[in-house]
This record gives sequence, structure tokens and C-alpha cells, in this order.
Amino acid sequence: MAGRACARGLFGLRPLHNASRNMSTLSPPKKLDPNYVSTESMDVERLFLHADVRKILKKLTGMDLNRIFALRKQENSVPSYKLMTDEELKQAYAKALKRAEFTLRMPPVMRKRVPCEAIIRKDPGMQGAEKHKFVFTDISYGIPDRSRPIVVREPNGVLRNASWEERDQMLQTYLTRPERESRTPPMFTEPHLTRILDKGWYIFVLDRACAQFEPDDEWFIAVTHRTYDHISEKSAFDVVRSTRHFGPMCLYLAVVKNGDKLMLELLTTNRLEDAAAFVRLLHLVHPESRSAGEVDEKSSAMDFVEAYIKLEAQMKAKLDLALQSYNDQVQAATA
Amino acid sequence: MFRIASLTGQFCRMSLAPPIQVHLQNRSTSFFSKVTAEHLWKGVTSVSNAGRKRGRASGSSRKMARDLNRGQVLGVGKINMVWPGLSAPAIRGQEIIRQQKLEPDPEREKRLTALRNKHVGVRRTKIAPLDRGWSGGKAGGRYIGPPDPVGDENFEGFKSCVVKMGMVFVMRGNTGRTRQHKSIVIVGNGNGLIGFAQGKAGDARSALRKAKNGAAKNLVYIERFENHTVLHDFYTEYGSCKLIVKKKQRGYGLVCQRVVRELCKVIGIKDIFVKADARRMNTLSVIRAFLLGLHNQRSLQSVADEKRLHVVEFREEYGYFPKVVASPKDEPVRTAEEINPNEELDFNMIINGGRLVMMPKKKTPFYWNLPGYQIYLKKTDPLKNHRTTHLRILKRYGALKSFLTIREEEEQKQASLKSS
Repeated sequence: MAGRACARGLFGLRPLHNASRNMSTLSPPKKLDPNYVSTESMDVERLFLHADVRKILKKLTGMDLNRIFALRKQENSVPSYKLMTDEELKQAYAKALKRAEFTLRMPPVMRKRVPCEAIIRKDPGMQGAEKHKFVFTDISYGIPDRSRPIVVREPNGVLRNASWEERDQMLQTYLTRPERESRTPPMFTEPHLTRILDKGWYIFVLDRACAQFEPDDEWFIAVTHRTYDHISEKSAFDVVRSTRHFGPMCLYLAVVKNGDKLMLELLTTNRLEDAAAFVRLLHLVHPESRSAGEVDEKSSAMDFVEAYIKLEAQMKAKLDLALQSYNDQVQAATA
Repeated sequence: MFRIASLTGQFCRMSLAPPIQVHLQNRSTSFFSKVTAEHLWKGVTSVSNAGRKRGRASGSSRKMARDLNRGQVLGVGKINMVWPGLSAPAIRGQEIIRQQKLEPDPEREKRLTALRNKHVGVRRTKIAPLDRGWSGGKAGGRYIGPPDPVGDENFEGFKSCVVKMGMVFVMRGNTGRTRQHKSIVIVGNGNGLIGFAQGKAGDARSALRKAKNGAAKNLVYIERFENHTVLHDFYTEYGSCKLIVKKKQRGYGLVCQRVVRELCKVIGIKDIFVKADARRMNTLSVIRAFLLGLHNQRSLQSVADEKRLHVVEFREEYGYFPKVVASPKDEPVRTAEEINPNEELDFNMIINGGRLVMMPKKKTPFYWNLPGYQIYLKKTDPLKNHRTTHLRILKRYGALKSFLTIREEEEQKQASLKSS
């Protein structure tokens, strides 16, 4: 216990407006959807953890091994060889499949975090003793970062819990993550973000956002949602298919009821089952929606899609045309 | 004295003194009047017999005589004069031409020097620095173009490299010591074909030509891995030359002995590591050892057939996804029960015939273990990230500042505002 008590860091910080988001001029690239801020109309965190929802998201993501094990941008290596029996080869494939599932784990969908600065003590006697704040961080091993005790002594004698921004800064100072920068990279701010998205580097932006931010950080939610919007706008869903980002994107599109482009893409690429799965997801997210009453468990995939086009879609004509051409193709194939 | 006075003008006029009378001996005959000009020139420009034997009369050490009389015409000199009967006809028409001083010709001197400096004889051609080969003026490592066409075959895309060039002597009873030029040339198309040959001739150029055309007649094809490296690691030796060859990834480059490097270039191997253990480096042995090793490489299919098992490739850049590259062709794959537990199944062991080469340990500088170096490391340790930090600060603040200096500046500014 003595060791734990001794292993404390002492660090003087700048005034709060500089200490927090590093550059006071920076602001997240998008205003958050209210459902990602409060639980008033729905609870996205619980929805995301719902077994049926996860099943649908997994199905929509798909698993293209050629994509998951595609050539990576890294240093080349000398190949190694092994001699295997049929049985061993089967096991090797099973292992690779497991690794593929591991790489497809979705980053958690969370609401914006609520402020955590609870006042612990007020010591007016210490008022004016120091000009600056003191931040005390427990850097002992074995404590999860989110519950690590970090407190701040204000110059006016108030002892309080550190804010999220202060926590992020102290954690990066003492328990550095090499993939995370201590200041928000400018690429997450406008106009840089739009420029990168226009190039179609969606996976780069999403991966880096995962590395840089906590999943309930306002910036994480804003950056990812901005990227999802851009993907939807350009109908570039194929770029993020078979990646861990496809599921949260589908959930977002269902929450904000902006699934027309996705439905159109699914129908034009002959994924009727996936389209029906997205409509099911929409009904799970918005049980009060009009099309939810039209279908039930026994309805076919076609019924789900038709109900969506009839009652939910904004781009009715285009979707109808896509469904028609899909039907024509199926008929031509069976004939 | 007069000359000095005339140059310095009136300032030196006071120093003019009467000339000193010197008695000069006068001889009627001299060295110059006895010997002819031809003899004199020969004495200056020729090489003595002893010198000729030592080779001073031939090759690059030969001194060429330069004729300083080139461009000089009798009767024409620095002063531009008309001499009737010498530099001009005595009578032109009815008129008798008289001696006459013309305007000085300033271009004459320049013309003469240009003419004198004009090169005569063979001049060395200059080679671009990148084409000069391994070192200096030697031919080793130089590329000498494709071989000469044979029938319809033009050897397009082929290149040939000189790997050895030298002189060989032979002593015979009747001819004495005779010398010949000997060269070894390798020829390849950079796409798997390779050949090498020796050529001997009286002159260097013929020796190179013979070797080059001989090499083009002895081409063999070498299998490569994805057209960039060897099929697998191997050890090979020929004579005194021992080579440890390692397969390498794309972008590694050619890290090997210079003859092996040129061989790789003409074969089309781009990435390889070769440790050459040759205390007496014999060019032919190196070539033979390397080509023999390349020739004896085994294909993955042969390993699969021999062991009756799948050969599966794993690569880091593809996330170690198993890729079957060879399966037994005719017979079914063995099951786990059919495999003897003591059987060797390590791919590298099989492909090297049950023998793996232990790489020599890399040598570290001697001073790494000295206390002074340890002190140096301790002293410079805090400075190791200075440059990156420097750049980061410059990028953030536009100058070498920190949040502390900025805070001080702000406080000073506020204090000055208050006081004013």
C-alpha cells in the first residue's frame, strides 16, 4: 500500500481553457445527433448491446476474407512455409477465421460522456497559497484507465475530480499510448477532414479516430458521424464493407433514419437479404415507425423491403426501380 | 635597366645608369652548329633503349613530342612586315614591291596557340561516373552492351558486364615472354537468363568481345521467386568460395559481394543477402558457386511431392493467412497417423538437405564495451529526442517557446497594461 501511495505524480497545469482541448479554436466537425447525447427518445448504448441488433450488424458487415487479409500497407517480409496435412490445413483456416472475427469486432457505440467533476472537499484555508492548479494522478499498475483516481486542487482550495479532458491529458502523459497524440490532430478538423473524406480515405479516418479518442468522446462521435454521412452521400459503402466500422455506420443510419442510399446500394448489388436485415434493424431502433406495423416475423425479405419503400423511403422512385431490376434479374436467372 | 626604366616611366628616370661593359667570349663553332636539327629533336623527344625496355615508349606513359613550329611560316613574324621575295612576290605587274610595315595582327598569336594545342593522336574517351564500374580506370563492373547478333538473334534487352580483366603472360623457349589480355564477362537479360565465359586475345577489346560472345552462347535459365529473389535460402560452394545465400523481401536490395551483385543484376534478382566466405576470392569460383547454388534450388512442388504434404505459405503483410502453394501431384496427402513422429518436417531443414548454416555473428565496434562509450551514451541520452521536440515546438508556437514562456509573456503584458 505504501508503494501505491508513493507512486503518485505531481504536475502543474495551465489554466483550464488551455489545458482542456489544447487549442481553444478547435471544435468537433459536426453537431451531435440528440440520440447520441441523451436517452430521451432512445438508448443507443443498450440498442448496440442488444443481441438481435448485433446479429443484424454482423450480417450486414459480411466477412470477405480477401478483404480482411488483403495486402497491408507495411514493410514486406520474407514468406515462411509449413508442411501440413489436410487436418492441419483445416485448423489453420479455422484459426485465420477466428482472427478475421477478431478484426471485425465493432468499436462500441456510446453516448457523449457527461461531465465528471464532482467536488470532493473545500479547503478555504488553502486559498491563494498557489497560483496554479495541481493535478494528482495515481499511476500504480492494474487500475483501468476509466476508473483511475485523478483529482485536481484548485487555487481557491477546492479539491475535485479531474474533468474528462484533464484525465485524457494526464493518462497520455503518464501512461502513454503510442498511437494516440496528446493534441487532437488537425486532420479531424475542417477543412482538412472534408478534404481527406473527398479522397475516399474513410477507413484511415475511422481507424485513426478509434486510436485517438475514447468511444464516448464528443470528438469521436462527431468525426465518425461526419464520415458516415460522407460515405452515405457518396454511396461508398463498399469501401467499408467487411470492416469493423460497417456495423456502427448501419446503426447510425438507422438511428437518424437516413438509410435510403444504403438500401439502394444493397438492392443494386443484389443483397436483398441484407436490405431486409437493415429494415429489421430500423424497426428495432424505431419500433413506432409506420412500416414496423406492416410486417411481422413471418414476413419475407421482399415484404420488408417493400414496406420500407412504401412507408419510409424518401427516394421512392429510385428504390422501386432498383427492386424492379432485382426482380427481373432473379426471374431471368430462374427462367 | 632600360626595360625597367621604360616600364616605370618618369619615377625611375633618376636611377638610369651607364651600361656596364662585359667581355663576351666568341667561338666559331658550337654544339648547335655541329649537330643537325633532326639530331637535336631526336635527343629531346626519343626514349633511350633502356627506357624502351621498361615500357616508357609505349602505353599511357609514352610522352608525345609536340611540334612547336606548327603554323609558323618563314617570313611571317610578330611584326607584320611585307618582305618582297620572301613573304610576298617581288614584282606585281609593272610595280616593284617594297619593304613595308603593315598594321599589327592581334589574332595571329591566338591562332598559333590554338593550332599548337590542337590534340594529335588518340584521346581517352570519358566515361560517366555511374558507368565507370567498381573502381578507378579498371574495367571490372563495367557494362559493355549486348552481345553481337548471331543469325536472326539480336540479343535485345541483354546486357553484359565485365567481372574480370587482366593480363596473362606465358614464357616459351622460342618466343620468349608473350602476353595476352584475359577477360571474364557475364551476359544476361535481367529476366532469368545468364551466361558467362572467358576470352583471351592480344588486345583488351578483342578479349572482351570474345568473352561476351562466348557467354551469349552458354545461356541458362534461373528460376526466381516472384521475379525478385531466390526460391529459398541455400548454402553453396565451389573451390575455395563458400556462399551463404538468403532469400529477402521486396525492397531489401542487393547486399552481397560485388561479382555476385553483378550476377544478380544480369539475372534479374533484385533482393538478396549473400555472405561470402572466400579467403582467396577467385572470380570464376564465385560465379560457379553462385550459379551452381541457383541451379540446385528446389521447387516447392518437389518438396510437396517428396513429403506428400501441402506446402503452405504464411506472410505477415497478408495477416498470416494460410495459402497453399503446392500440394502432392499424384499421390494423396498423408494423414497425421502416417507421419513418423521423428520425421523432419521443418521446411528450411528439408530444403537444405538437413543442414542449416549458422550465420556468423555480427561484429560490434570495439569501443562499445569501453567505459568512455557508456559515459557518452549516458550523457547524450537526454538529447536523443531533441530534434523531434524542437520541430514539434516550432510547428506549434512558430518559435522556440513553451507554455511556460508564453505564460510569462502574458503575465508581463498584463503587468505593463496595469501600470500604464
